Amino acid sequence: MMATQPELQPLIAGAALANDWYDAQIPGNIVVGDGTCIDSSHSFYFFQATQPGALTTGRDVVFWRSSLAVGPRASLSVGDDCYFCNCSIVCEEKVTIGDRVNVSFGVTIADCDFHPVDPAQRIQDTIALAPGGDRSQRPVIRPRPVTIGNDVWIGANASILKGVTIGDGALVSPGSVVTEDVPPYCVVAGNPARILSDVETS
Amino acid sequence: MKSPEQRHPDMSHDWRQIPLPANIVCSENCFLQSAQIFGQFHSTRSPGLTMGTGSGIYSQSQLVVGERGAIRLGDYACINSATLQCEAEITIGAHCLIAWGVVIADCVPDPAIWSGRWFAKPRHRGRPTIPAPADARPVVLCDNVWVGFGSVIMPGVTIGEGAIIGCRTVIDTDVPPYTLVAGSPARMIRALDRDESRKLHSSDCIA
Repeated sequence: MMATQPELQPLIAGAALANDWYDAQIPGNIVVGDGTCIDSSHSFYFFQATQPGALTTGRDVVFWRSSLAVGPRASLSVGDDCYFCNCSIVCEEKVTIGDRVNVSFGVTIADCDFHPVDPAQRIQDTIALAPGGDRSQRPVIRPRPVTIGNDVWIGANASILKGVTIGDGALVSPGSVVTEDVPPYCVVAGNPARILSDVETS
Repeated sequence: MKSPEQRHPDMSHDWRQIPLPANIVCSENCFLQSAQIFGQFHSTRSPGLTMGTGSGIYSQSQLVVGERGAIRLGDYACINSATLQCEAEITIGAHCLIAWGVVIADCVPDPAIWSGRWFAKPRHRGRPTIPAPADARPVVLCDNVWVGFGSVIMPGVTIGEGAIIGCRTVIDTDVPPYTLVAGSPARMIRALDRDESRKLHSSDCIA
């Protein structure tokens, strides 16, 4: 039988997908609702969490070519009927996503900064990150959880940065860089993202 | 004088088992993710790429370098999935962090040369000289610069020591040292304290 294109298959904790181009298993420490699908185990390439329930999803969620980078002690929670299409979720503490959230391609959702802002600490960070470096010497970076409400649509290439809460029904325009909270039922756009209008009036 | 084999880092992890360009100089403890990084590396300068101690070019980075281009990486510089387009010189200082999706260009390509037709040629064989655009202007990132994901650094820009460029920012003018610049259009958010105490902890590391 010829290898086929990656297709959406049921996401099952600890299982291996059929015809998966990436030779790995789905992590065992995830809790998945019925009907949730994924295209490849490569989505878990950066999945480092080991505690039970590091990823919880509701029913009928689709992960397509997305990266679920959940850090060692972090947790990612996804509601029902969400759609993730070629996006990256970088989670070092907690990312919570509601029901019926549509995340378009190129989107980055991150609850941390990856590196220290302080210049002196950043020097220490680059030395610890170097090939053969001692990563335990990395300076502490405080993550701030990201919360996304129900019925949110996040447009292509938008970035949701740490500490942001997006209210129910909000629309994040493509290419936005969201650095502050978004109230419910608002349209935001730009870098940094600003409120344009209400969803009803747009 | 070290032999070229000793100068180059171990590439046994590389999925693309092709030789590295001869005109690159790597210091101790360098990392190159793949020879694929040099897919469009046409520098004839010696060296065309210099890598400092502990520096690394990771993931799907691309060095698009013309014949007269040269790239210098300082010690502990980290390039993670960025594209460097170089027809003159790109200098990246020590301890710089370049995130994914970043583009650093010292020239604006001539569309007549960099057209889809040119790219369509299989494997770019028989590539004649591609003239460096007349307006190629060197880009300098001083030491300890951090460029956030998706940002673009335009030709002729100098970014001062310790500066931070926020994500998805386009930089077309010089950035003063120790400042945080973000947004579109880019604007200075605040100054960074260069003398802030080194509050270092050994626990908790992030990916």
